[in-house]
Amino acid sequence: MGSTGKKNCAGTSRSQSASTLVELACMGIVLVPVALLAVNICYLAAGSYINDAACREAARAASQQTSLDPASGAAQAAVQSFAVAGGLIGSPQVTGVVFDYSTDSNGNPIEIADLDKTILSKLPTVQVTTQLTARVPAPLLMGSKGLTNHVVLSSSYTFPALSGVDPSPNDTNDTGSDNTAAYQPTSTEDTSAPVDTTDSGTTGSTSTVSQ
Amino acid sequence: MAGRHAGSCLLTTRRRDERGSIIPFALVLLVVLIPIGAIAYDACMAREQFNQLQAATDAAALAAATYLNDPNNSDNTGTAQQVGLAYFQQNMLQSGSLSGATFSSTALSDSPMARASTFNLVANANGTVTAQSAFGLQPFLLKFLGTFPLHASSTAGALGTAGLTGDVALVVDLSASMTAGSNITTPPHTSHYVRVYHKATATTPAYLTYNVAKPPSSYLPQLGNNLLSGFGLSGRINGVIQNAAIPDPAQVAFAPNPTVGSYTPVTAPPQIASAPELSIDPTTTPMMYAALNAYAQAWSSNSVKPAAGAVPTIEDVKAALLIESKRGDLENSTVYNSSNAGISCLQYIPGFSPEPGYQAEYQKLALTLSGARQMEIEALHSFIDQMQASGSSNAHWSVIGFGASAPGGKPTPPAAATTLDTANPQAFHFPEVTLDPGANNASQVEAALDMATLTWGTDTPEALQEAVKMLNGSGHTKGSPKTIILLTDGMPTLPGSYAAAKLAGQSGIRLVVIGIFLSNYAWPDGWHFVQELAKKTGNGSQAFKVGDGNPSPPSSALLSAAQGAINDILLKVTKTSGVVALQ
Repeated sequence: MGSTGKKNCAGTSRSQSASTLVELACMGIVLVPVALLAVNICYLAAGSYINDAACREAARAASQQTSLDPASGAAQAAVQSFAVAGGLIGSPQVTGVVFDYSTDSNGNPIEIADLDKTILSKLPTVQVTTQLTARVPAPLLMGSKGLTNHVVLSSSYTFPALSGVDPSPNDTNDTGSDNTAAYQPTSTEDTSAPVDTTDSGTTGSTSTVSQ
Repeated sequence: MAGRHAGSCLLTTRRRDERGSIIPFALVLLVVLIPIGAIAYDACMAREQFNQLQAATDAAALAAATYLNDPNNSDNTGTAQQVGLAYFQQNMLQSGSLSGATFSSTALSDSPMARASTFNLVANANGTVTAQSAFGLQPFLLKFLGTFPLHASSTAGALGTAGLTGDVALVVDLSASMTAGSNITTPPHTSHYVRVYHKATATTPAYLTYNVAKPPSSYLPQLGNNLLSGFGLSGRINGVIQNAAIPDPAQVAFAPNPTVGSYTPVTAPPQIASAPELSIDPTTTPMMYAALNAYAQAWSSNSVKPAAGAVPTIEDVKAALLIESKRGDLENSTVYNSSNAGISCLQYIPGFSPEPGYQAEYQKLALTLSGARQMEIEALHSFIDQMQASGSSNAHWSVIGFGASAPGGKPTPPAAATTLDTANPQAFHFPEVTLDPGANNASQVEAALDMATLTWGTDTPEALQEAVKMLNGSGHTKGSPKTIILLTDGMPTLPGSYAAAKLAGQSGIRLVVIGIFLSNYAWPDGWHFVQELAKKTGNGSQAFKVGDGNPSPPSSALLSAAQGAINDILLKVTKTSGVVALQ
């Protein structure tokens, strides 16, 4: 049974079949990664779109609040509507809220209405950062992490504090005795939700909620 | 079979040898697919960058509209542009920062270089703000194929309407706990005693206390005989006093004295340096002002002055009762308290006829002593006045005061309203002014607030339900925003507040709730409660607090500070409520 000469009923020789397999294999080495990359990009694009939209809405919602705690609560509430049930694309999570109270030289909180050219460097803003973890079908080489199919997409928006600034924000590390604790979800509820860990609550400071 | 085989072989021999043809085909395919993929990828990235640019432009437009929303800044368009640019620069795009954005009057049509951005903002004559921007895209893959002068441009609009707009329901807590920091310890109409404090100086508080319902009987006949004639006031009660020349009240003051019996007599020449607790004012309390000054005038012409420690003279008592008559307590006390039925001071004062309207004047004056309640009312006065003065508010006002119940709710107050004379419920004032689509009702609301008296009990749920009914009822102007402004000092005494809040939320109502925690009466539970109310209402509802449960009764300074804080909160919350994104 030589490799040449003998043809099957379809008119192709065994050598031709073998060469087809080799060619397909060669082609696959190039095309399959391209195809997987394309699928990965589709997932990442979809995830990025969802995360970006969630972040934008979260920032908008937070910008309506006057201090950190309600701002982080509003941001979390906003991203809830972007939750993805199952699938490879995760749900966006608020990973950071920064409420910049921006004080003037006297320590008084600055509001947008008070801005003039001399203090435009100090802006009462709310910055919201969201993250979404997407699992891509094909692992990607991600720097120090090596090959991984978990890609973290991050987005951040900065909006003006539209509703003014609470002159006496209650953003301190609450003991839970008042309702500020409502913005600190328990680990069983939402492990990714922010916990106010750093803010001193002092007017004029930049309050940060971080995970 | 042979013939068929021969035919098959004939066909195959006609084929060219196709070995090696797939790889070239695949390579050709790759040459086509990779650029297509690159274009698709860059298109995705460009779209995302556009979205981010849009968000940054939105932020800028909203910020500028908010800035211009302040009447003090309305003419400063140049600063508004800078404000918009500053907020635009705060944002990032996926492929770069917007921090270097420059101002350009042609931003929308600009073609900036890669990663460069331009910005423009226009304040339109109709009150809207339009922000425009452009960003030079930097394709991730296609850049290797050459320069692509691609750019994304964005426009966003926002409208700032100064002042509170739409239908507003003020829901005002008038529970007895709102007497925190008062000179009175119970709702004024419930007490047998109405204690009036006079302060001669800041360091030597003096006071005059008397039992109106049970005055010393030995004085009363003489009092009756002398009250009118002794001061020469006969015939002057009805109207003349108010028009008489009134001496400077600073000439008269009460001095501190030991308590004798059920009242503290005045033993020193009266010198009323000031009586801030009484809030005596010729405009807001003209009758009291006139009466007090008539008393001062009488003292000034009286050569006989009571000596320190002396038994009070009839002048002391009648002067006090004269004052009190102007405050209403010489009326048949059953009007306000059925337990006092049959004890009428009027029977001892034949011929005495209080001025028309004295009951209202009494109540108004007595309520000024009600600490937190008065502070709450004054803050609302100030708020409404400022909103009206701004000339930019088209708010339609309404008010619902509540204590043991709320107007429009239960047909009769519950038994818990122990302070109410159930035999005469119409004399009890829960303020209520309903919405009127054709009028803003500001003055009516302010007048009603002045007459807002107090009861035991806090029926917050009923008050909220009534406010929701009002905002959804015939008084509502179709299409107008609906806002409830709730002021309360703490926990309701009846259940159902959260359900009422949800009901408000479902009706598209925004709740602004201010918790007043000047004492530890409802702290911290009350703060938790009001925040929950706001959260359950939604629609951008907000909760604020004034005070943080100070265990001591609030001082006058704290009350004053709280009044300012409430006013600031209300103005802050409402002045930006009209800023909306147009695109």
